[in-house]
Amino acid sequence: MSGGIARGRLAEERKQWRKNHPHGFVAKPETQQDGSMNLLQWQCIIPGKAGTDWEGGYYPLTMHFSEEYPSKPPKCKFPADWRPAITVKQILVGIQDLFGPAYAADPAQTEGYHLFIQDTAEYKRRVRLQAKQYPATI
Amino acid sequence: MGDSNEELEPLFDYTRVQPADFVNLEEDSDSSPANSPKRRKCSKTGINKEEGNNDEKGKSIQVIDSEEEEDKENWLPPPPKNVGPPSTVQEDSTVKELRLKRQQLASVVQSTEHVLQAADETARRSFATSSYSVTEETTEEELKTAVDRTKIVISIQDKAGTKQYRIYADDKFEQLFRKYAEKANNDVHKLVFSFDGDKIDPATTPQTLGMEDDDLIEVHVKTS
Repeated sequence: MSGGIARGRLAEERKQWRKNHPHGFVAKPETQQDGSMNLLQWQCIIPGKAGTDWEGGYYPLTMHFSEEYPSKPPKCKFPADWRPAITVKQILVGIQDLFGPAYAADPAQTEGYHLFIQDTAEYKRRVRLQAKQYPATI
Repeated sequence: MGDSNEELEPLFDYTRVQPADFVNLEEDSDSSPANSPKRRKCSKTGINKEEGNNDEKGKSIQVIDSEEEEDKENWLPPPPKNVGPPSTVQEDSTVKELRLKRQQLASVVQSTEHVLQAADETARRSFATSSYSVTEETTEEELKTAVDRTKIVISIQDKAGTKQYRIYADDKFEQLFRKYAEKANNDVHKLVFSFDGDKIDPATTPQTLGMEDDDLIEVHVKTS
């Protein structure tokens, strides 16, 4: 239906990205086996922010766009090491981890803030460990 | 090519391309004693055919060949004409023949100038051709400049910001990287340049990576 729009928009976004993007980030449409480009699936890399425990980590992410983009949002996936034992609770806490520095900056989230404060050492240790698991690819 | 011919002319070493015939004539006109063995061979071959008991001819030859009488036997086969003892009749005809030859030689000497010019021409042409092929191999870049190469604007982004560089699309990156490192006051070996998350091999070119105007190259400083 609006496939032309999605691809046109993504082609333009890609064009702009090539000219300008934040340092250390990568976002490129997947190259298919026949050498052509799949504009609906992008391989991305998010660098850990400097000065944080995430620094030095380069976190891969895939973005899946539908033909309805930009009316519908893309699905973004980290290559999670999924194990059947992972629970809903762990997923939510894991997502909360992504907000990292916000804990310290925003004590209004009292519960999360206290958890962060109480377990800071362990929390930081885990983050740093994770950053090392995603070293620079270059 | 006309212009470059003119420029290249003084560089040419004429002795390399002088044809054997031409050299022979030059000697006659100059009677220069400094001859190379190769040249002498030519002159002797021509003259010895007529050489018999004729003293006059012998003298004229000696002017040229006096330096190496012995060599003559070594590398010149006996002239077929003079194998048998010459009779008086034969002598007459030989003398006539010799005179004719001398006239021919004289006229040839006169035409030396023309030959010189011709040789000069040939030399120039051959030199131009050879120099062209050499140029093509050695200074590829200079030629390409004349052939209209495409330039490309490439942005190099570091943590301080982005700067643009204009380079030839078929130039290797190493030159650009060195230039950047120089300006950034950094060792080029400590830097990693990447395009779309992939490290750029300095031996590749923007063209081979399919880069376009304003494409962004990122610089990372090696941590280790």
